[in-house]
Amino acid sequence: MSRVVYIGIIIILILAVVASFLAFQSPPPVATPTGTQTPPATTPTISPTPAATPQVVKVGFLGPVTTTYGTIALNSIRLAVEEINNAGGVLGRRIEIVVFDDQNRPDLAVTGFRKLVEEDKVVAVFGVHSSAVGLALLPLIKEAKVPVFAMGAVADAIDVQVAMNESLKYWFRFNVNASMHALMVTEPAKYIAQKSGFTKVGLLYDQHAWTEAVVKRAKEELAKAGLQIVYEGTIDPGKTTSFVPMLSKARDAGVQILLVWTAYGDGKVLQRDYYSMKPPFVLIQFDVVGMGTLQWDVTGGSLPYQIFAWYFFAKTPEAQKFSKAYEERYEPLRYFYPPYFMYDAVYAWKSAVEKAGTFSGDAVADALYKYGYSGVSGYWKFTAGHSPLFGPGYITTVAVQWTEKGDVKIVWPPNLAEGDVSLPPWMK
Amino acid sequence: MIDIIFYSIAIGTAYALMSSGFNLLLGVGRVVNLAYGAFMALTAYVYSSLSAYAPPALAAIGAIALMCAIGTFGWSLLRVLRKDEMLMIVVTLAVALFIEGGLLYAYGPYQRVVPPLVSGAVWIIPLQWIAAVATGVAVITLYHIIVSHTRIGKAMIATAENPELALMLGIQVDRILYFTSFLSSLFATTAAIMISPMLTVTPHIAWLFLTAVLAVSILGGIGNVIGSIAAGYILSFAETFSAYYVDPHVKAFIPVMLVILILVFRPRGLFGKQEERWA
Repeated sequence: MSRVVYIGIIIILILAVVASFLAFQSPPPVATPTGTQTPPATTPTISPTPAATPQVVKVGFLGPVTTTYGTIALNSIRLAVEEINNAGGVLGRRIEIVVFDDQNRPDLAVTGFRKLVEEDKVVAVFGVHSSAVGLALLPLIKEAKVPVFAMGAVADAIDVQVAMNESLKYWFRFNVNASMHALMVTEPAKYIAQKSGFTKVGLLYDQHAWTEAVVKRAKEELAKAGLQIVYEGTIDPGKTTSFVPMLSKARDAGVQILLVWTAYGDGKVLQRDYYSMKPPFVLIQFDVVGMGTLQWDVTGGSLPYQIFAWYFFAKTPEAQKFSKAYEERYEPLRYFYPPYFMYDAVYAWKSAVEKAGTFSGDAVADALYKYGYSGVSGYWKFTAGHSPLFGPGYITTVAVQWTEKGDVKIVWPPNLAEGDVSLPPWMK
Repeated sequence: MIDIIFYSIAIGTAYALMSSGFNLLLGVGRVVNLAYGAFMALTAYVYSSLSAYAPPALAAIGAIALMCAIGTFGWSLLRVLRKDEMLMIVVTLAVALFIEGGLLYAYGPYQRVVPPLVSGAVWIIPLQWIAAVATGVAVITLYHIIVSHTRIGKAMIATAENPELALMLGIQVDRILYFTSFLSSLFATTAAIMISPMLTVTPHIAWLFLTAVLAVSILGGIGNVIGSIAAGYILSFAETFSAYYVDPHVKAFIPVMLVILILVFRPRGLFGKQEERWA
């Protein structure tokens, strides 16, 4: 074997490692691929009724339209708009949606926001998934004075800026902020610990900016509840190929409940490995990508006894009506970030416009902050940072547990629970 | 701890198998096939897709049969490349990128959980891990039986030692090389189906497979099948125990670190001999 081949192999080895690192750069959190990325473009949506109607008001959608959650968000907005248009529109005007695919890129989002506001003259913008996008848009929102209804962008830093700056009152997040994402998992964990007499917990989370506030808050909450953290591990977002070492270490540390926050698709690997290894602890996880019944198919049924914090899964008549309408218009709703929230956002905007009697951003923002809105997800009442209040009577998330048959039951909060938590049989 | 040890053995067996296939083709066919990792990734995706319509065992047999056929006849391309080593590297790398691009187009860049061949567990050891070890041991044993006790195996050794002389002795070298390509493909496809349910696959996993193959090959000694087996276990244990005791993120650096160490202290690998040819 000549020296050329040896050198070639070594060069390729180094290139392969570098390429694998670059190629594995964290993709945006998604459930499943929904098609190829499209170049950013604005796409006017044709109203279902005759286009000759002269009185039209435009709203924008700025988000990653080719992802699963982006598609579902847009579908939910379209559904609400169609219903409103069929009922006579808002202040006598029909709504038209203009779409801009920001691909979760702040640079594209800034371009898109300017386009929507300056060229398309939209009176409200829906979407905005990424915190980086949300932070990049804040100066533009202040200038444009157009209400923005974000589906994600959960960074607490946005709340702080909005709370401290009156000129950012146009920003509303129709989702709980990062700190509340801690409670989505710690609250059911505390509830289970209390009921089962557990005292030792472990934390496993994405090594990413979005979890910084989450973990800080989670540690405070767990300490207050007297729960001892005996294991803490991090996930390389979008790159983890096996959780065997982490699960093994958590088990050896004596963990009784493992709390997980993940948003980049690694959850399915964790769920597969947990069910395969069956370590003797309860797994409670916030997994954006796994937030729906689709996850059963994705993991090949590796979910029994696992507990998930879901944004919304209430079986109220209003929620079921929306779910049925969505199914009739598109397909069965099997992924829950963020259809209910975005559907509510459109109606919340309509409600605020009607209360204000104008499409003016100032008046609409003031009306929404003052009155809030009661929708299919609950009561949207906003904090000073324009994040929704979290808890009974407001926006409440749920914890669901998968059964061996592939069903889910709500196990937390107690007022919505459909049954008690079933401890995995391998814990006994 | 016992599950970590067994997991390392299962992954190590897969590493040993995949590297043995690579080194077999290198030792007998004199081909550095840099598309090997992509070929494994493609096998994992074919198996995953077939398992949506058939039981896992049937899907595995179908995937192995299909990919072995492609791998065997792929020798028609590889044999041409043997004449120019640089061309071999460039073309096989291009094939790898082509496969990766195709998988990205067809399946997207997202992680995919591959169904296990067998479900359930014995005590705390998942059956998939046990199946991986058993299958790997069976395939390697079969290979040694072929090499040690059959005419075709002896012909492979002769071809590896001196193809021109083997041809003069009446050995149909071309057929032997096609058979070697088939065996190499069998190793790669079996390893892919064993290891992919224990990891997660993306189109980019091709490079992780190739990295492991090259690291194990260099560690064990280029072209040395016995060395590959030993090095496969060394790499697997090093990766898993570093993830357990140090940090899971360290795991990615282990193959490169081992390669650097072996190239500094024993460039020919743990089991390699200078100018050795081994079938």
